[in-house]
This record gives sequence, C-alpha cells and structure tokens, in this order.
Amino acid sequence: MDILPQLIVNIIIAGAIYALVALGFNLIYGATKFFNLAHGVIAAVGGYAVFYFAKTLGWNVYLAVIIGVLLAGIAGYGLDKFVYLPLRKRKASNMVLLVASLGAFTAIQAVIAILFTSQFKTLSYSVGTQRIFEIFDGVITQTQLIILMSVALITAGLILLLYKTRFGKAVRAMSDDEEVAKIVGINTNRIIGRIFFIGSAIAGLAGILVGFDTGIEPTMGLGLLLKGVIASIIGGVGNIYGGVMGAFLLGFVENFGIWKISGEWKDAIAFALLIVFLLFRPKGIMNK
Amino acid sequence: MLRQKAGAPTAPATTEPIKIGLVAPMTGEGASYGEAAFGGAMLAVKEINDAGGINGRKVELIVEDDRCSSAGANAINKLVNVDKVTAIVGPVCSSSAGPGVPIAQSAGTPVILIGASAPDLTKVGDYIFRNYPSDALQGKFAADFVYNTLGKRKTAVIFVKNDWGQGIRNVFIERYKQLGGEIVYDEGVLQDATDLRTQITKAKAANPEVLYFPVYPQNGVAGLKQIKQLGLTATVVGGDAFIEESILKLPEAEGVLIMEGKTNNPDDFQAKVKQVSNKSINIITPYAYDAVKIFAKVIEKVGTDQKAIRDELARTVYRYSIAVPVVEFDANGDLKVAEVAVKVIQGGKTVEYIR
Repeated sequence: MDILPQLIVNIIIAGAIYALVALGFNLIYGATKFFNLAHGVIAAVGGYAVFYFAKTLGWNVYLAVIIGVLLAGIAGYGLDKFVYLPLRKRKASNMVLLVASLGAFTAIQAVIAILFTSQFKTLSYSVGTQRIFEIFDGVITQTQLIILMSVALITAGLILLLYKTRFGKAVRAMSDDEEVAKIVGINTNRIIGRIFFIGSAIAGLAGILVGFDTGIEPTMGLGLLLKGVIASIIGGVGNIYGGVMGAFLLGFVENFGIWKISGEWKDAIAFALLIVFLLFRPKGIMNK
Repeated sequence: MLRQKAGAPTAPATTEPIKIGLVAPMTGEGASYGEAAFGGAMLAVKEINDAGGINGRKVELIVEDDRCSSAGANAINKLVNVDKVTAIVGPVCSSSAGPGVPIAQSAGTPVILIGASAPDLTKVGDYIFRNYPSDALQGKFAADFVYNTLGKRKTAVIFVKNDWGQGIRNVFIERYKQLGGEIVYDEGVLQDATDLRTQITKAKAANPEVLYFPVYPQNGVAGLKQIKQLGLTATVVGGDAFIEESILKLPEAEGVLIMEGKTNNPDDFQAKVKQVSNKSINIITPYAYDAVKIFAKVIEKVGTDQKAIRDELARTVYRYSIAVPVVEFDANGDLKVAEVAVKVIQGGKTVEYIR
C-alpha cells in the first residue's frame, strides 16, 4: 500500500487544526502586540462548553456549538476587560501582560479540571454516524472536512473584516502605530476588546472541532497553543495569511518528517523548524 | 520531665497523627489516575479514623502532585524530608517512580507502589514494594496470548514513549520474537500526542495482523478513532491503562482486547469511594485503598518504626485486599501471585475474553 496519499491528507488535517488556532492568535497579536498565552485555554473553554450543553444537559448540538463559540468569545473579552485592560492602563509592559496571560491560562485550566475532572472526553459519537470521504487513496472524515472549511471561511471573513470595513481600517491603523491611532480618535481599548472577542471565539471553535475530531481535556490548550504559536511565528506573526501558511507548513514538515523516521520525533521536528525560522527568517514567511 | 523528653521517639502515649504520603498525578495528562488514587486512599483513611485510628492515633494523608513526571523526585523528597511521613503510597506512574523511589529507599521510608508497573522499580531496594502486577508480567503474557491463543504471527507496535510504555513494549517484543513472531512496525508516540494519523498510516502499510497498543487513555481515545477512520483492521490489543472510562465508553473501542492484572473493583466499593470523592474512579482506586490499609495493619502491629514496618511488610500476608485476593510480596517486593486476565471491551465495559 502506498502511504503517500494518506500522508498528504494527514498533513492537511493537522495544518487546518493549527491554522484555526493561529488565526485567532495572530489577530489578537496584530492588534495588541503581546503573546496572549491564555489563547490556548480559551479553546478548552469552547470545547467544555459544548460538552456541558450537548452531552450533560442534552441540548441540540448545533445550539451548543453556537453557545460554546460565544462563551469562548466572552471569556476572551472578559480577560481583556478585567485583566489586560487595567494592566495596559497602568502602562504595563508586554512582558507583564505575557505573565498575566500565563496566569490566566493556568487558573482557567485548573477551574476546568475542578468542574469537569481531568479525564479525556470526546464530543463525537461513533465513526459509524460520521461520514468518511475518500480522496484518491486517503480518507478524511466529515469533522475534518468541517475543520478545513472553517479555516477557509474564517480566513476569508477576517480578510474581509480587516480590509473592507471601517473597523478593519481602525485595527490596521492600530497595528501600525497605536499612539497615532489614538491621536486620530480611534478608541483603541474598545477595538482591542472586540478583537479579543473575535479571536477568542475562533479559538473556541478550534477547541470544539478538535473535541469532535479527537477529544478534550483540561490541558489540551497548551499543545494547541504551542503549535498555533509555532505556525504564527514561521508564517509571520500578526499576519493572517502568514498564520495559515505557517500552519500548513508545520503540518507538512511534522508529518513528512516522520514518514521515514520514528513517530516520537514529531514534536522535536516541529520545534526544530521553529528554531530554524527564528535563526534565519525571524519575521516568518510573509513579513519582510 | 527529663525522661519523658529523652524517651520521646518510643513513647507510646503520643496522639500525633500518623502521616502517610500519597504521590500521584493530581494535574496534567494523568490527573484522572491521581483523582482515582486519591478517592481510594481517602476512603481507607476515613474508615481507619472513623474506627478510632491506629492504636488511638489518627491517620493523616499528605498528597503530593507528581504530574506523572520526574516531579516525583521532588514530591518524595518533600514527603520524606519535610513532612517526615511514616510511609508512602504511590507513585501511580512509572515515569514519576523512576526518579522518586531511590530517595525513599535511601531515607528508609517504606513505599507501596500502586500502579507504577515498570519492572525494575522494585529492584531499587528493599523498602520498595508494589501491590500492582509488574509490566514484565503483562507484556510477556500479551506476547504469549497473541502468538499462541490468537495464532497471529505479524504484529505492529505503537507505544507511549515513557517508562511504562517503553517497559511493556520491551518485554512484549523480546518475548514475541523469542516465540518466532515478526514485528512489522514499532514506533513510539509522546505522552500528550493526540494526532497519531501518520503512525497509524505507516503501521497499516506494514500489513499487521495485530496492533499491540500500550498507550495512555488520551493517546488511546484519539488513536482508536484514527485507527477506525484510516481503516486499520488488525486486532487491537491494549495495555491496562485502557481500563478507564474515557476508553471504555468510546464506541471505537468496541472489540479492543486488554491485558490486565486481574483487578477487582466491585460496585459497592466504588459507591463508598464516591461518598468521599466525586472524581474519577478507575483500576487504581482499589490499589490505593489497599495500600493504605496494609500500612495501617502493619503499623498497628509493629508501630511507626520504619525498619520494623519494612520487615513486617516483607512477611505479611494480607487477605482483606479489594484489588487482588491476597497481597504477599516476593523477594523483590512484587506480588507473589498475580494473574493476568484477557478482557474485551464490549458495550462500554470490559468482559472476559472468550475465544
């Protein structure tokens, strides 16, 4: 059996998941210029919200997904409002914000573990109810196709938002120079709040889809975050296209790398790629 | 007055609580095992204290988190040197016990391992005991079972890359090759891996009849789904780590075979545990309960001198245990008698495998 077709499908699936995380992360970084580590745990918030509403309370799955995405967005917005915004007002450095986001990450993760236990849980039902599609010689499931389509739709949506609306114009102005943006009358704090809502909602969706594809656990955020951050950095941090390209490049290198060598090397390969980029192209594929 | 002070260590009248340490993963990927161990240990402590303690002294459980990692060394260090516990229950994970138990051994603190099943752990020294079957047994039994009972000659192995997975894999492969079987694929995955697609794709290309799959539940939930999705149809044989709700309730786990040390975990026992802890309960719970109870019985007989406890443990025959019918240690400190059972996952639980 030739494994190449399946390998390519695996690359696309992995890349799409990383891209979902990188998209929201990059959006927030672009506007705020700090590494919001709590982004990872927001994905877990989305996943667990769906678990609670759909599986524990037995609500309609689609409704639960919408609530999960909104809750993740609200959680991100709340973090900004109650943690990052007061810090920014006190002119805290990005280092302080980074540490605060790490604190938020750990605290929220602990709360999830207390509420839902640390057991690995899955959102999906059986493979039998999930359609499987064959492309050439590779297989892909319905959930994985939904992940792919979400990446395409969200990328397109963000591009439209950033380049075709007044709001987007303001975000880009801020991203260029926050002080000048303030001087010309842009309410930067309000815009950052909204950006947090949107970026976190995307992270929530990522957590939910990963939950359907494999499963959720309170510590899922870290793994997702790390891969998302690597994707962002190699793609060009803060750049929407860059995040997506970085994600697929990461998926490619990771899975192609373990084609001929043993699978436990996967993470080593991913981080080696990061280091290579930091050394030779620190601004990533897209940024000059 | 003076005499009382000087005689303090042997004074029988002390009412200070007897401290027993529990080392388990309370956070991180293995946290459900930690929660399960905690429930069992707490129930034992509660029962002992409700019955008046050990010779009038209450038992105090001191829980240290080892995150299933080398943090076990710090955890045991703290229990031994700061809390000065009388005895230690745990670790649950071999990856924590590896760096941890030598510290207890050199301090002369008796340990009963309750899940850390890497074969070499009990060889660290004479203070290290284990009331849980060692992997040497599980891996060897699995190889015999696959080769002789199933009659399969081509096996792929995907294992979790830590002390537990590596240990069980080594024993399996050595025995399977010795019997004449062929290992067509053999690769590890990291403990937190949930994307096993490429490994499974490669394993499938090697055309195995059986997939030996000793991984942790979080690898397993994701991996079993991906096995079905990618159409790998080989018989899947898992390790005892699969005896956990998240795997058993998984539709894709239907038909997966599991080798496990025969463990009893009766419903009425689980109901009692639920009254003291509403967290995960799994195969580790009764071992944690038994370990605390065994220490209590030994301490009741010989007091809190650690050397005396060790000597008494080495010759004790304990028949009130929940997990296994009788706990009796061999020269290594491992169970003298341990049975391995083959189970198959069916309808959300494990049932006896019948050919």
